[in-house]
Amino acid sequence: MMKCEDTRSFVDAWEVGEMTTTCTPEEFRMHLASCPDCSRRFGALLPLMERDLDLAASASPSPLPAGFADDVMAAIGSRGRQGFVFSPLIAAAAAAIFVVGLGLGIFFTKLNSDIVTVSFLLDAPQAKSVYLAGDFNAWSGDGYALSRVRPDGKWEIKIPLKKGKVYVYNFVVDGTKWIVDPSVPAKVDDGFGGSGSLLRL
Amino acid sequence: MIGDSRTDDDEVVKKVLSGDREAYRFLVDKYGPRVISFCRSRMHSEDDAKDAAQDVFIRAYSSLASFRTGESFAAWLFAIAANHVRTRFRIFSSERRKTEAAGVEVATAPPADPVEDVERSFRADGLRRAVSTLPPDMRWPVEFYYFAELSVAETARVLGLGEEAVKTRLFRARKSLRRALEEKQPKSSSRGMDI
Repeated sequence: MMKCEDTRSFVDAWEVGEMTTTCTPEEFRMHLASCPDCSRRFGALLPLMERDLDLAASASPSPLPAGFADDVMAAIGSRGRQGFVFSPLIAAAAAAIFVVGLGLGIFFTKLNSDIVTVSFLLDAPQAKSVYLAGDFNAWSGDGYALSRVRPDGKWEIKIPLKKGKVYVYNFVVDGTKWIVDPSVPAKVDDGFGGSGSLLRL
Repeated sequence: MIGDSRTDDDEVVKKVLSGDREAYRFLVDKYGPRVISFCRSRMHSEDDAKDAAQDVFIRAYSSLASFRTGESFAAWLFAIAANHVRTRFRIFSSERRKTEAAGVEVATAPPADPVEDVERSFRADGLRRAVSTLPPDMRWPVEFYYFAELSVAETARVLGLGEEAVKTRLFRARKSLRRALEEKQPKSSSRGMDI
């Protein structure tokens, strides 16, 4: 029968990334079930221990809430001809950006055969901050900060991007307003009531 | 599970990108519980976590063309999830502060019995509360490794760290969590006496 001091040894070993042989995880769990003191002291750590012992993976996976997957599928299905890489309509629009973008808010500098530097520009004189978020930086809203490059409120950032891909992005103004690039006509619905601008390189 | 997980994910992504939208359901079913668990660590309710997780899958679908097959889909997905919950949590906190500043009471669970509250905090929410007190350099590895169930290698990739750095932070986090939880331990294990 496991004792309270054994549970402490068990937790000590787990804490330093080892597992003790003084008891099994099952004995540990049974002791917690019968000992209120140890349960309160160590019970909250049990999910972490199970993860370290790969017990979580062998347990039955948690069920998804009812309707979860259906809601996701409905949301992406309601977006019309999604899959912008493969939709001829969107692909055509994206290709147009490459041309149109040159004369508007996006400029390209060739670095080598695979990478180009892309300059993103936004005219936002009232903004206190502007960030660039897109699938190229996992939609980080605070990763790529634009700099105010002109007194009239023009913001800019230059980033290297790989050619041969389609990117979706937003500008994040003052931390909360996610907007499309006004200089780029082609957009996709982002699923949140807004849109993302398309860039094909 | 049949077959290699990463290969399975790659095959599904290829199907989706080739126009089989329904194939995406496989990824939602497979990773949904982990994404909800991950989001729950930053959200204030199960409903918020579920909504955030659905947003993550929709956003991931929009960005699916940027996923490179051969890499870990889980690491890619949870990088999106991390950025989403960070942004969403910030907006949520801002709205909550505005609401509180306006003198409007924010809806919360009714005050529980003190003893029950202690037990609940140690059992149901105790771990999340303790994790939320960790500094960011320890909190993110815990959330990726323990809640999202990414491997150490995947966690390292998402965070841009080496695997040894992740292990070190997890070790420090385990020590901190244990200390934090034990410091909250009531002096007596008794539920108290009725007077």
